[in-house]
Amino acid sequence: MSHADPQLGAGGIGAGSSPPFPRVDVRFSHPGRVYEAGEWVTVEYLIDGLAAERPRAFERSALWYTEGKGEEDLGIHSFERFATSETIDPMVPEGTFAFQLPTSPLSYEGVIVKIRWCIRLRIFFESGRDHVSEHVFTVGRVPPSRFP
Amino acid sequence: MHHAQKTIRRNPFATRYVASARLTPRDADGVILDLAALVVRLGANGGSGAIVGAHGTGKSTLMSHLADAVAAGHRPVWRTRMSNRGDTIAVIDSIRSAPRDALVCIDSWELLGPAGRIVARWLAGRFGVGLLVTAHRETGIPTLFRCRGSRHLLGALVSQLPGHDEWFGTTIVPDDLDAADVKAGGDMRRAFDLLYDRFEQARSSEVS
Repeated sequence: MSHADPQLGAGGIGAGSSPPFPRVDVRFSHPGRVYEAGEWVTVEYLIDGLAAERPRAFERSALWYTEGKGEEDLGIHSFERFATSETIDPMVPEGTFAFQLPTSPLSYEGVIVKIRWCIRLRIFFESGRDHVSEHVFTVGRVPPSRFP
Repeated sequence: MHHAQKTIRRNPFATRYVASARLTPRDADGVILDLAALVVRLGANGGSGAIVGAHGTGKSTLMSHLADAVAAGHRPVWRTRMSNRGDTIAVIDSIRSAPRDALVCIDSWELLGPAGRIVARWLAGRFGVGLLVTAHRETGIPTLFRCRGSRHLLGALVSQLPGHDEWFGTTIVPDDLDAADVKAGGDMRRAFDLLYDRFEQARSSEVS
């Protein structure tokens, strides 16, 4: 079973059956999570509620995606996967990682389409289920469009 | 390190949230479908079935979830989608290369064309492969389920969208669903499109 919940606020949208899904808390290095293109982003994360289940893999990535009515687009900017206990243990339940942003695309809050950057953390459990959390941040300062 | 961030305007009617795999398959009354029962019925139909209904009534959603349920039962599942007639060869190849007893899912069966449909059915019989197809009308393959859009279904689907309790009753109200349902004429995809715009419009008013 896969549990994918976009976390667009500072907290997390976790739902769950039994056992409960973990809560993922993320802290960004800049106030308001606003960055300039080309800038370095540092992220600290803390995963709470893992006691009941052991992860068999952990992924952390930075990506952008479009959100709107039509076909969606997505670009993976950085991706790391940890799939052995030796590599997972130092990364879970807490860790820090950093990456440098590209020059584009910039975040955009349009009416028909939006471009969003986010941090995605994904935990695969030994039971077969997995949990995804996404944490949005802003790249650039493109003004939002308004509904006509 | 900082927690605070500006508010992100998530539109719950964006493709990201209303894509087939995200929604729970339901009937016209908004009741969640019993996938296990449908899998049993598929077997009783000889391993093949058609999901029939007008555009935007949940055929692809049901196919996606039903395919997952069949795969969970360890029956091989091949998934294909007809976007245009040019995909015919790829779909035929899928049927030919699928293992015996596999289920080949073909979304938009009509796009295969008359000749393509005959060849697909003949090959499926020849290689012992089941077909699960979506179509707008009867296909000759036993109908597994008839999808139909309704105001009840729209309400049920909307109730499962992210953050529902935060925006329903304020940014989107029941009258908006009524209007979208009437204008879309039972096409849930069209209704989601209309509600996407309504959401943007309402949010814009809230901000100003």
